[in-house]
Amino acid sequence: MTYSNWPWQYSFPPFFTIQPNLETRAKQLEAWRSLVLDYHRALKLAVLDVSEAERSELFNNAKLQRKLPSEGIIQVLESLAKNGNAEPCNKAKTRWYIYWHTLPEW
Amino acid sequence: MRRSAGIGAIHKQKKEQGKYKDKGSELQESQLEQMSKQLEVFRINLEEFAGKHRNEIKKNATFRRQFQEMCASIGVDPLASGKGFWSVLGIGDFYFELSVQIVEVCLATNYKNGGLISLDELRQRLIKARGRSKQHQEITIEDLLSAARKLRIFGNGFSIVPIGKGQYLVQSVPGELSMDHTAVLQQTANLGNANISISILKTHLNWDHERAKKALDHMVKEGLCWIDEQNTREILYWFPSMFSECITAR
Repeated sequence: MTYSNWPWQYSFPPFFTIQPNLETRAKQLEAWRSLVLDYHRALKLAVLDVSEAERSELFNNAKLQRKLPSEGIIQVLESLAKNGNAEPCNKAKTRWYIYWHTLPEW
Repeated sequence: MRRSAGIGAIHKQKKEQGKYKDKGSELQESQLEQMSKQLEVFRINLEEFAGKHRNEIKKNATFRRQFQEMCASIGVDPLASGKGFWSVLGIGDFYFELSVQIVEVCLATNYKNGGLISLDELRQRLIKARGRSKQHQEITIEDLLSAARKLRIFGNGFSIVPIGKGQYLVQSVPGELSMDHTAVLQQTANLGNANISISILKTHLNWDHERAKKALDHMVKEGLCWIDEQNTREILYWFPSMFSECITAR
């Protein structure tokens, strides 16, 4: 299965660089959060492995030759976790559960 | 030897002066009366004109521009007040409504472009928001410019940045855009890209490294552009307000 519902940010090259401006970064993380959730919901995925994710099309736009570095992926995951949409499944935080709905919502 | 004026003479002089004054104010009054009569005639004429051409003004963009140009040449601003009798024509309402809509579009797109929007995008969005009927569609860039210029009265929230080739950006947040920042925007628009870099500024504007970096850093700080560190040669600075996918995104 492939995902086709990419937001405009996905083709915007600087989307793949964590932004230094805090306000801009907040907007960026928000867009990433909704993209990650949408992507996992559409493909019916529930677990995200950070090392695999680095190569998946979600964080790696081959056409643009841009990819979100692993620090960026972790920032996105942590901001998802803050909203109750993700949780690490092991101590090393290399695998994460992605909740399309937060646990109370489920 | 000439005698200095006596009391009688002074009284006489005063009386005469008083008469002159009376005559003067009488003249002024009659002039005023005439003026207000003329104004009345003018108003009646205008109302007649308005009755005939009201729809024309709302519908026809060229007619609107011609009317505005005529007003400008005789030194009257038909948009200055909603109470002016020009607003009989509904021309004021048209622009005030447009101004409110401009503010709404700017606020609605603020989250993605940092408060900078191209006039073309603004127009597209307005046309979409105003519905399909034919009479709402005819908004020209000139209409938007006059409406946006009026918004400046509310303080420094709105400004219009010309970026060359008849293109404009509307800035809707009260950030400071210096000559250098405007030059960066113009350069970016001229190259037809949504991005710019320090080396491009150095070659095209003959700036030194410090000046280019300072200008770009400021714009990053204001949230007007995003940095991209994954270009092969150097950091690129991207403006969402000029990035076509961002412009067409809902």
